[in-house]
Amino acid sequence: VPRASKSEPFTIEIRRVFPDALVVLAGEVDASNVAELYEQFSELIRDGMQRISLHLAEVTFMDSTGLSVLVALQKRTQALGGEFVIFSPSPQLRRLFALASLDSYFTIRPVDRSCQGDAPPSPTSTPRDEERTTARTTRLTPGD
Amino acid sequence: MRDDPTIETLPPSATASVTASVQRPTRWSSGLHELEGRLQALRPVSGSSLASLDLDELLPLVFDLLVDLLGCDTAAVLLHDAASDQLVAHAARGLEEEVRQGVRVPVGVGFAGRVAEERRPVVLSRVDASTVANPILWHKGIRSMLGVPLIAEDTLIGVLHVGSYSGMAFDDEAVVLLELAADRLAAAARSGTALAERRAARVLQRSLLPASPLSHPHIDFASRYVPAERGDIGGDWYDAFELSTGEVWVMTGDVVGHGLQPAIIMGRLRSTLRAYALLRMSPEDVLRAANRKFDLFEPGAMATVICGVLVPPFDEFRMCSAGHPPPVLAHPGGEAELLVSTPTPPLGVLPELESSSTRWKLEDGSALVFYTDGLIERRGEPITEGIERLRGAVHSGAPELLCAEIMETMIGRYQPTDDVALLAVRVRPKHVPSAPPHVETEPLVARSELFACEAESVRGARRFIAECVGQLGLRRMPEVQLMVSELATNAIQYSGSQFDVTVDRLTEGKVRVEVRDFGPGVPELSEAGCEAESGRGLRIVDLLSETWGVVTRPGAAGKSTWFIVSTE
Repeated sequence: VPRASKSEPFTIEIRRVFPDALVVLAGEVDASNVAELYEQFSELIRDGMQRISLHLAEVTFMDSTGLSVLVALQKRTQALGGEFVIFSPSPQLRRLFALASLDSYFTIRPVDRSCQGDAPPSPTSTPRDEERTTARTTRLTPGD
Repeated sequence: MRDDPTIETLPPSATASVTASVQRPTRWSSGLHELEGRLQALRPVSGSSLASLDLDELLPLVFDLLVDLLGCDTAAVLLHDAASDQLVAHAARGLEEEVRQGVRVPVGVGFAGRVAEERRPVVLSRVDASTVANPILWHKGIRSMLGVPLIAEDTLIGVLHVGSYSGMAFDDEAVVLLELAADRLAAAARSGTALAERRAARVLQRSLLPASPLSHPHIDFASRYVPAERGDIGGDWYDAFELSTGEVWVMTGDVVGHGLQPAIIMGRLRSTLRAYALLRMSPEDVLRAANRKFDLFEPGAMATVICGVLVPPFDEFRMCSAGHPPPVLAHPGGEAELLVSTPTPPLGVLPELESSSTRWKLEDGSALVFYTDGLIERRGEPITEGIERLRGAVHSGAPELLCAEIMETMIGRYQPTDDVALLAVRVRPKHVPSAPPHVETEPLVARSELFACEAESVRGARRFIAECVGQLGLRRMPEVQLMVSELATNAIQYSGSQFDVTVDRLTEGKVRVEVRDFGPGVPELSEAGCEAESGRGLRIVDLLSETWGVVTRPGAAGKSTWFIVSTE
């Protein structure tokens, strides 16, 4: 039985500026990495992050397993009085949201201008400089 | 009154006389030069009507110029209201009361009325009750006046007049000057009105078409609306709503004409039809009543309408048409048919409508397509050809996909000369289709690959399908990859088995993909609400494929889930 190569890595990058968290995903989201994604989100919520911004511009593929995690996150942040905002999904992802009738369920915003440079995008509320220095950045590549 | 020697009607000055008069040195000739120059400066650079100043921006500038160059004390613009054939005070300098009091003068009455009626410059050397209709003018102490009509493209836009407290004599040069200003104002008013109407019609249209398709547990909807290339909004609309009785009403129609007026009539007609539907009338009674109202309150207007209803458990469609092109119905696996009902004229043609409705059977998965004539009409082609081409493009697929395919087939790169409205409705399949894939001819190409029962195989299956399908030149690659991803995930998560993926190229530009696993369990189509955290996979396959199904083998574990998509 042939095994699939892990050619296009899936990455999660997280930046925390309490109580905001910024999550930048890249690559393909499917059954092979949704558990990891779910775990990362759970940790953010456990740590009291109330506003979670999820940037999807670099996500090249997502199926219904990914949607399920996003729905779970939306429900949990909402139940805790927090906020979950999805930024800049590709047209393909937007179509997936529409197919699942989730396009108006999620809060989706277009490309954040601050995301277009090389610098990582800033959270929805821009942190002051002193806060920025305390921000903890985590980069994870599952399988490493 | 017209023989009164104090009233002088002058011939409209031609361009030639402008040049001639400029050569004669008079007290206004330098002013005329200056006005021409300064009006020129107000002209749009690009010549586009959008780039020009609008009337209300232009008026204060022009009033300044007139007071400056003519030495007049008052200036005013009255605009023509076509509906009442009256002139309405719009803006004034030194006569602001005229605007504040909402002065209205019928065309043909008084000074401004006379300018409008005769469409010529008029000079008044005496201002009193015998020469002007508006008392504000003589109460202000105006002793002489000059008025010119505002005309654009042969249409009366209004009147511009100036007045003098000292009884200044307005001569030929003054007339030329004022006419020059009037030309500029008329052009701005005209393009401004046209632009405002286009914008209003567009806003109205957008507010009346359902922004997102109706969300219903048993019926899927999708729609498209494309305005004609030239940007004029028509009176096309579609509507779908559910009543408290559970009935789902579907309507489509087209008010004849383009511009703001048909769009407004469309809005009223849509409300009328909704109101009658709420009264629990039958579709034919709704149309009959709407025709009566239309005939009485919208004289001269005409509209074609389809009025239909799906009653729970949604196994029947009842429909009535007033002169509208026939909707198309397709059952799963069957050829599409046109829903031709008793011929009935459009609304607004006869005072009483003889209408009756026709019923059609619906199956699980049947699709209905409604549209307006912009979709099927082509210059130099009989309308029946367009309808036939549409019938050929309709199948029982998911509405969103169906709309995309129909727009591709019917419009493609063509620039529609009329508005296009399209509404697709499908009775959502309640069960997983269990029929084996119906294939008329042998597969032309078949490729198959086996994958291990591990999460990474989902990506592997996507890579495999991309490779196969890339060779076949399939355009819907992202969608096919998504469907394969869903089926592969199901095989691993619910059947816990390895699986193989087979791709067959069929004739008629179709591809069949089959995912076979060897574990227990048969998938179910769940009614996944927004909040559900699973159960979306098969729904996605259902929405994206043309047909699909699950085949189990008696006595053996495992099953095949297959789908067919068009590659065109």
